[in-house]
Amino acid sequence: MPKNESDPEDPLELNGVALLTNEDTHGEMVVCFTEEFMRLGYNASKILALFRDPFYIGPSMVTQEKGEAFVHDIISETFKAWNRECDLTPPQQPQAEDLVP
Amino acid sequence: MSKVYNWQLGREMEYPYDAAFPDRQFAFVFNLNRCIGCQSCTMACKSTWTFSKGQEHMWWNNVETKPYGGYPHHWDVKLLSLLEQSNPGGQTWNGQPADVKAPYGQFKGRTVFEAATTHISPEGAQRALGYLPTDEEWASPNRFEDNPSGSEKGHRGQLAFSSGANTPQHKTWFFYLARLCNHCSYPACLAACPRNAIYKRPEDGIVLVDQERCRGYRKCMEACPYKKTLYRGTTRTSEKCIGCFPRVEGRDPDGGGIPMQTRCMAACVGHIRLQGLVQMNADGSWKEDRQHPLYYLVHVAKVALPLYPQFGTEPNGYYIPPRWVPRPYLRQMFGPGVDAAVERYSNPDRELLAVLQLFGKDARMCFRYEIKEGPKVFENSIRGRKFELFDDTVIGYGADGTKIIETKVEEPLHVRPSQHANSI
Amino acid sequence: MQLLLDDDLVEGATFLCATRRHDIPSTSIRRFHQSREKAYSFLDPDERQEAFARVHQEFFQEWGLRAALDSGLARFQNLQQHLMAAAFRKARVRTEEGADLHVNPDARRRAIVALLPERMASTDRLDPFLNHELQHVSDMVDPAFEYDAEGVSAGASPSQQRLVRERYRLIWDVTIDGRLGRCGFATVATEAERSAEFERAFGFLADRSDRFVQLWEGDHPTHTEVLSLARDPRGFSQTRQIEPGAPCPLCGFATFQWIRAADISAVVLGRIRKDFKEWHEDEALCARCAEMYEATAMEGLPTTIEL
Ligand code: SF4
Ligand code: SF4
Ligand code: SF4
Ligand SMILES: [Zn+2]
Ligand SMILES: [Zn+2]
Repeated sequence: MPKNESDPEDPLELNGVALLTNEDTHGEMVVCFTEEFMRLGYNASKILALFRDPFYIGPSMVTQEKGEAFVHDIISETFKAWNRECDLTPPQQPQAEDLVP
Repeated sequence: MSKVYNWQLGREMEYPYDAAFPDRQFAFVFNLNRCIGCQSCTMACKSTWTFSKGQEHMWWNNVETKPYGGYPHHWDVKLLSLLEQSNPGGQTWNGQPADVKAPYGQFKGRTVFEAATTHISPEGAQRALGYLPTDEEWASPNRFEDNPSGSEKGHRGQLAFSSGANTPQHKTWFFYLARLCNHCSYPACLAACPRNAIYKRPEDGIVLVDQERCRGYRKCMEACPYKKTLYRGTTRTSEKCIGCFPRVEGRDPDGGGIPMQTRCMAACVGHIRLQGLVQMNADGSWKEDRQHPLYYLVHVAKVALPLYPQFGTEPNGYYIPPRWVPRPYLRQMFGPGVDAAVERYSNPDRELLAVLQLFGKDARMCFRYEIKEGPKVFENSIRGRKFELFDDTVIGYGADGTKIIETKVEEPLHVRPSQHANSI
Repeated sequence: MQLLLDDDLVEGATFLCATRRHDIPSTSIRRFHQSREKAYSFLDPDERQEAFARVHQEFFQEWGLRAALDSGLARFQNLQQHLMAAAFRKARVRTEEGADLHVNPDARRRAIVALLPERMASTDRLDPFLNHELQHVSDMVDPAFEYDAEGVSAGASPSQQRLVRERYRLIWDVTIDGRLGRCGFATVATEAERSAEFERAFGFLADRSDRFVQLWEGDHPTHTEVLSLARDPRGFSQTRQIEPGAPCPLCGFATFQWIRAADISAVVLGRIRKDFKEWHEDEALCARCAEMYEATAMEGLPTTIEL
């Protein structure tokens, strides 16, 4: 079969998906995941670990795009708002090995 | 065509048959804020029902990464654009939300049944506007999705999936949408079958394909807007989710004789799923059942919304929309109830927090809950609103009144000691 | 020549024709469904399978699908003479579509064409595809073309092989579509589409538009011509030029970083001469080879390591 121009209908063609919005929803994503896991009983450092783990695509995307300090701040604010003890120490520069599982 | 009442659209609509409602309807609520896309649900279904020859491409339950993926490819985009073509600019909602008969206002556009009357497809006249996906569209259930792709062969001494670094990543918002047959109140699959091989059970509203009658016309596959009937080449019949009916009937020995939630519901590690049977009025709207958790989530708290209600089949799967996703996308997918639902879910009240604790706690089906008030834990302001947390206790009862769940809002977390970490 | 049909293709095609083709009389469609009905009554899976195959074969014939394939084959006269069989099978995805030549140990040749059943439900989609793919087969069996499948996948590395294969395919496609157009046969791509593809693949050639015209308007090329253009479009192998993008005489990889013999120490030169007797010092070598010889000669290591 001849190889023509990229065909958006071709399921084996690697193509991007156009989105109506490029709204930045990273912050809301962090709040949501933090609250969900916090209500499950996770402590703040366990939640931060999820954001560092590349296997958790959503959370790790936020960390990569926004930096760990951004995530760290939202986690501690959320814990504060829910009156829970936050076991995070002030943000440090992420170490290279923290980003690999 | 008959006139039937579709409460999700807040109006009457055309349907090829007269309305007939079950005593109780199979229904479920999925909390999309919690789905981690692990596919445990998918595999629970596959290993129970679709592991045989000819069922390789059959995924009664699937989880897709929105807005990128879909199984079959682009099913929803295709459906939405077919509807748009048939009624350009007219697929809109308005009107005031009102009680259980019109909780989202009124849909002014056309459903798949209404659009079919004026649309002749290459496949001829249809009972419901639709299309038949190609083999190719059924071929890869995880296309565009973020499934991990390890190194191709793996190196010596290294597992192929040892790193997530090769995972294709989406650079903006996305969420996982878990789907199965919605056991619709006005099933398009049933309407389209020329052999009357599809029926809706009067006892629980589960929609089944009679394998003896089916002759593989695939009209159901063309008509189901959710693309939840699938063709099996070896038997040349269509198959679909059977709602795990033996469990729903209470015939699974594990349930001790009372109805159990389906396999995909019970297997959900994210605790996003709650399934049950709801009571219906004569016009198909839900009978008030204040202490039923599904009734509460759909009609009282209104945090759970039907998937693409505009299709018009009155699906019985409801979703708590993911709160970080831009609203226009969510409104298209779940209708006009989205803003209020996200708002309420993000600022949960006392009862909602308690009811959310029922998700994933027991495999038996919950028919009623009760809340025992507990002490106020703290009072605060979250995002500028007053917030109070109470450590209430929520108790869930099974079909025969057996207590099946008792848990608190401030639920303690037990961590299994390391020597038992992976034992079940 | 025998016409072989895969049951899955026949079944998929008749099913789609029954729902999509408006020129089939409704009585015939009704008979089709009635015959299928009967096949469901066989409970033994093998018997059922056979019964379905019979029904689908019957209507494949009745609705002219077999004839469409036959007349496609008849358009290429040398196929009759050179092929033992032409087999058509179902492709599941578009990328699987295409024709291939299979040669038995006793040198009997068979063409296998994979296609989507959807194509068979409309002549507009079937004919151009058949013409194009069968022209490939017709070339492959033509003694004058001197086709050699092995030659196409030869190359130093997998990526080079892929590149050569892709270029080969494109050059061949250009000549096929050009020739088909001149004979008045429908095909899969227009001159403009092919020329755009050629432009993308051979953008580095100054005379690419002339070359395209030669291919498009030219006669039937030979396998060797197509292959040499695919492998070495700039003709470096003849010139032994030290040019950016030309292959290194030692490793054969295209290089943009040349190292002259004058810049290499005597020890290293000695080492290279020992491995490559034909190499001339006025030729130069690529930076990667230079680096490798530098390292191994200095350490006294062998240049190849047994793994
Ligand atoms: S989701 Fe589709 S298959 Fe399931 S009942 Fe509704 S129309 Fe039928
Ligand atoms: S309800 Fe049962 S049959 Fe249906 S998708 Fe879930 S596990 Fe599969
Ligand atoms: S098991 Fe639950 S959390 Fe996992 S993918 Fe399915 S619905 Fe989502
Ligand atoms: Zn070709
Ligand atoms: Zn070299």
